[in-house]
Amino acid sequence: MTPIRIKGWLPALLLLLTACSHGPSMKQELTERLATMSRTAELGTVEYTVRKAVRARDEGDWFKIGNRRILFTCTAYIKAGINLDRIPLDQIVVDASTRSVSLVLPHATVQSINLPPEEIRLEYEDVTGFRQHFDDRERQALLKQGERDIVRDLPNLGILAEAEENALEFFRPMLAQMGFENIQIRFE
Amino acid sequence: MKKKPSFRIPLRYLIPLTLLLAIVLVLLLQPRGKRARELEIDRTAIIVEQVRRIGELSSAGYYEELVLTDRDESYLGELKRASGLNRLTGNSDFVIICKGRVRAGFDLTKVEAADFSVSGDTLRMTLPPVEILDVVLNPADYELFAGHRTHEQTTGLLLQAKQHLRTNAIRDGILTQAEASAGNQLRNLFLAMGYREVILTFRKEYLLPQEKAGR
Repeated sequence: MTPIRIKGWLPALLLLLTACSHGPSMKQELTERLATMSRTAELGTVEYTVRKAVRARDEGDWFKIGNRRILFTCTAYIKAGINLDRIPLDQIVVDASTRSVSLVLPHATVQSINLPPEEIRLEYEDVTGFRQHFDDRERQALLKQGERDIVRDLPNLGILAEAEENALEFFRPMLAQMGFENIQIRFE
Repeated sequence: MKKKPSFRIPLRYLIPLTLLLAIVLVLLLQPRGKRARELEIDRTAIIVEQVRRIGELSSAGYYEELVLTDRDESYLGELKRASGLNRLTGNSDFVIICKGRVRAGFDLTKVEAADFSVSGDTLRMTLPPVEILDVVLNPADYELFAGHRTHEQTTGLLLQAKQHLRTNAIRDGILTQAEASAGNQLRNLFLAMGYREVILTFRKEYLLPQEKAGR
């Protein structure tokens, strides 16, 4: 009887097949871990749509041969307004005889920053030499930095001033429709 | 006289030894820790594309942490798992931990003049249908726990996660919560303005928001 000889290439082929098994048959499974509901009272008065290019260049260390470059573009939707919970109700002064009302509003804040995943586009990626493509974690780390940059630049956009102006435009007609003729609104 | 022993390395060993030494050097020079130095993005300007006046009363928020697994169920994926070969090659499942937020409330720009009336000490207001205002899942809100996918595949999974967040928030009663919360808030505000009675009604159509530019 001749002994069965496992050729050297057979395990290698098996390994190769299994390594390349990233087939189309994928199943998404979902596990919900934690959910909480909260009560809010935010009046959003302005939305800015902004675009940003997120780009990075990885020259690598001296022993790495080749460079890597990547460029994303992303769109962010930023909403700002006032928090109705912080309106001091005890400071609302109404004088029915003169049809006047005085109201203090809190200063505007940013209420939400939304970077929809579908609006984050990988525009360009270039890899030379023996370098590897940017992996998932590297890509996400770069996008996180982009998000941080947007947050950091918010004060320069003037969104808060615009939100307060729009809040005035919102309250004035409403109070006028309620019958008030002298309307005083200030921010504190 | 005794001859001194010579330590000359034969030429046939010299090349492999040099290569080995080079590999060791490269490995030693790799930055310590799990990850190489973090790449920094270039400073680029933010371009404001649009400024839109809105009147959104957000009265309920929902936060959920969920795990989304994209499992490789192909024949070879199963074979790899069954044979234990995934210990050698790594399995091709992809796991993301998402921490998303959903905001619900009212679009007050839809309030028309007829929805608002005052008679004596009584104020009547009809609010438009409650809706989901935002589902937020930003790059800082998810963690790639295991596996690798392309940018497009990851985006596809994140969109599914957003859909789950929206569905779960509605299932858990965010719309009812938003109505109750807005009712209390507006009632208190109007009572503080001197009205004795505030009657708030809600248009009872639980409409899902129209897609705004794919959001």
